[in-house]
Amino acid sequence: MEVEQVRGGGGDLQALAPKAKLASDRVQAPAQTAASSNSGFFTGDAGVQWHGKFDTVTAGVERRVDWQGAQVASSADELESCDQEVRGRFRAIERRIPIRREQ
Amino acid sequence: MPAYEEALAADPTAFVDCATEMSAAGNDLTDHRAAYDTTVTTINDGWQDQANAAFNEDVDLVDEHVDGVASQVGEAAEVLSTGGSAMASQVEQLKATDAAYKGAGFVVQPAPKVELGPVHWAAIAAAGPFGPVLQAVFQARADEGTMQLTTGLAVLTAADVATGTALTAAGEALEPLEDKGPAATDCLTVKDDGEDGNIEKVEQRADVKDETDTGKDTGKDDKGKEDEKEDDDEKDKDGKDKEDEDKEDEDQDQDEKDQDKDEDQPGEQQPQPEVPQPDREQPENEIPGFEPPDPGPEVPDFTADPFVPGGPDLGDPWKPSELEESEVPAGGLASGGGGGLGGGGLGSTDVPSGTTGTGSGGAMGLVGTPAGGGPAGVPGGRPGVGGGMLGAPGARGPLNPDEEYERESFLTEDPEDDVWGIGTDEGNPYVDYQEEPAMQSDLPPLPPVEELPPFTFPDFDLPEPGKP
Repeated sequence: MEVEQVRGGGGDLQALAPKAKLASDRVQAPAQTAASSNSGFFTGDAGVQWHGKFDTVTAGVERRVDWQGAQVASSADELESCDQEVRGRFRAIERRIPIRREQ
Repeated sequence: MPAYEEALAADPTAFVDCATEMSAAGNDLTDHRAAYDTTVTTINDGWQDQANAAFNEDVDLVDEHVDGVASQVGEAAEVLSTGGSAMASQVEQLKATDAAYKGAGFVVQPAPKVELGPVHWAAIAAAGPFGPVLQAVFQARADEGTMQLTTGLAVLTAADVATGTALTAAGEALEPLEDKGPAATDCLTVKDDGEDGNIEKVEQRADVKDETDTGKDTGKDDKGKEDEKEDDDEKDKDGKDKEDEDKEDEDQDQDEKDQDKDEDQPGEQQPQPEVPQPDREQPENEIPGFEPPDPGPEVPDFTADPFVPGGPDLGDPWKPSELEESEVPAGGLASGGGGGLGGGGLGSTDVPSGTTGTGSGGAMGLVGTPAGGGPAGVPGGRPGVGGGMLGAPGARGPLNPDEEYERESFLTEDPEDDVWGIGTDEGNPYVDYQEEPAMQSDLPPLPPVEELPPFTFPDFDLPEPGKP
């Protein structure tokens, strides 16, 4: 694993996640306008409701992608810490070997 | 459903604008997905392992979901755009009609209803005698306008309902992605390992079960064999016992029946496992073997469900009369058991009289113990029976005359009751001649030595099996 690359990718995912919300945000104002400028129209309320659902969906995508980014980053961190742990053990072994030879 | 005034004031082009934004939002989602995929590809370039596979499975889910949402958004935008533009034209038509009638001096009520305006009434009044005709003409135009407006409003309402319903359905169809727990990826990998381990465990358990099942089966078979054995013994015995005293016969028969009943019962498992213990112990400690007393009192417990009163009494009379101390029951019963077995072994050299010899010898040994049972028990056979019968009433006849018979009958049945182990002694011919064939039957017959394929080793030859 390229720890830095993967960790950066996780960060990119987390940075990308909120942009899903933009898709629904841009619909919000027109939906509200259409509903208010067409009072009494069934479609106006339906449009507002649709936007609510769409907003939930994009929020879900945002959370999922953000979670994925966190997972990726944590995986990279775990691998790195594991790598350091193994490195430390090897160094400990390395330190022990000459002592045994001296004895 | 808009009222007429609302329809006139409406701006359905806002729907179209909204639809445009919606389709733009769909495009945003597609772009977002593209950027997402790019990032994922970057991640995958530097990450290859099981966790990455799980991550990519989740990525596929997200991609699929976003694709679906984008297409749903596009469809909803199309519906709203179509309906919005249609409603816009219908509203324009309504406005134009309304404006035309108003321009012509008509009054348009919000019903919608077109009525004659003041201009028309003035013209009618000015027309004089032609007033009613002119009013009729104006009224016809007004009615036509009413119908146009009503129709236009109905069409607009229908379009609104259709579009709104479609949009609501599209909104309902949008289902958000389920949130994932913080450890979902870990769970995936752990779950795989657990499944593998579980399969192995299940297999192991199944093996163990099979083993236990087979063990149970063999145990049942053994029981069946023993039952048959006992039945045979009883038949032989019955034949010979008739020569003995009637009372003794009756007691024996009753005991035998009782034992048969109990042996047939499923609860006979308890006596079975006790079989080997007395068998092994008795030959080793011939007289002090403490096992015979134990099966002795137990016999009535199992055999004498109908015989309940006789059972517990059996052991008691022996204690006070024969020996003094706490060891009394064990010693007395042990001596009796040993004597009985010894008598059986000795007397059974001629097989037919073996059963009666055992029983009577045992009885005599028990009874005669105080008077020196050793020599009395040795002869066995008929004289033993006589001695036992005579000695018993003398010893404790006044106390419990019936006890003797039960005791005698019980001892007589000892060899047949393999359950109690007395009959399965090494010295007892019954056991030997019936258990050996069973042992042999379990093993497959070995082929003759000549038929065995010769073992050949590369370095040295074995001697020919046929040659000595």
